Amino acid sequence: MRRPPPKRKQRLFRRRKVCRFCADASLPIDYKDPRTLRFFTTERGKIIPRRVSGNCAKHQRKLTTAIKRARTIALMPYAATLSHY
Amino acid sequence: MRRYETVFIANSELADEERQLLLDKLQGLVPEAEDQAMLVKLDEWGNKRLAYAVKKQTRGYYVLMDYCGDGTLVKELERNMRLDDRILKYMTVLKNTTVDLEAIKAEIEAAKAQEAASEAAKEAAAESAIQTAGESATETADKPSTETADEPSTETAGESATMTADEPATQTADEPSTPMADKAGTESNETAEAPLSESVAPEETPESSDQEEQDETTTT
Repeated sequence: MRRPPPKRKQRLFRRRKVCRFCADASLPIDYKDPRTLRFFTTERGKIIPRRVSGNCAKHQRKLTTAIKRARTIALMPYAATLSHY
Repeated sequence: MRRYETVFIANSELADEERQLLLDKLQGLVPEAEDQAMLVKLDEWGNKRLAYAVKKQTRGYYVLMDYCGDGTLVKELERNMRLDDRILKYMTVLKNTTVDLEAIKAEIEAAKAQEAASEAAKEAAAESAIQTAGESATETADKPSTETADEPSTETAGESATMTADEPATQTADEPSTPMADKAGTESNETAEAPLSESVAPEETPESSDQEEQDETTTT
């Protein structure tokens, strides 16, 4: 997923993204809970980068390990196929 | 001692008795002596769809083992899982490098109490539903309290249930049980919708949910 080259206007008016896990401290990052984790992957199963999701470095790191663990135990896909074509 | 968590996937085609045998065997591997090891929790998640095929299987029976022990125990458990054909896959995660036995015992007790409380609450609810039809309210308050006699303050069944339900939640706040996590998941899904759909291409978020549904249907 590439964003279009940043234009000046866009940069000026872009909303500041807040880390979701910092905003809500009660939100756990757990590899056993793929439903939350799925939100931070693309439909193909790739992990969404920090610059897109707006997570802070600390939580992105935790998220990444959680997603990778979930992949290991087959709760999340390594590469999902697109079934609708 | 360290605290570990092992998730393993058993073959979903196993009969209930066979699976019970398997679980008993694995539980038996954890030594009885408390200063060496202790099984904290054995949580069966049940049959789930696998995200990808493992040993040509698309479904599996997930079981979570939460235990304390040292490396030799993990080695032994994993060796057994590797050799056993009934287990498709396993993963062990280190949760904590130090273990406070007393705290864990309290945790187990709390979990048990919570279970009992939830059961009692269910029974009380069922009973009160029956008894509100005609009988006195004092009886409904008395009956469940005798069932949950191990709890200190039991004025009404409803109160004791909420009290015990609160305690474990604070103790196991760092490692929530899966039903709790699931709840949090659904909540976050709702709240998370807005910011992500802005940053990711707009067509992606709705599609991912579509795909999930389709995945479920295309398993057969």
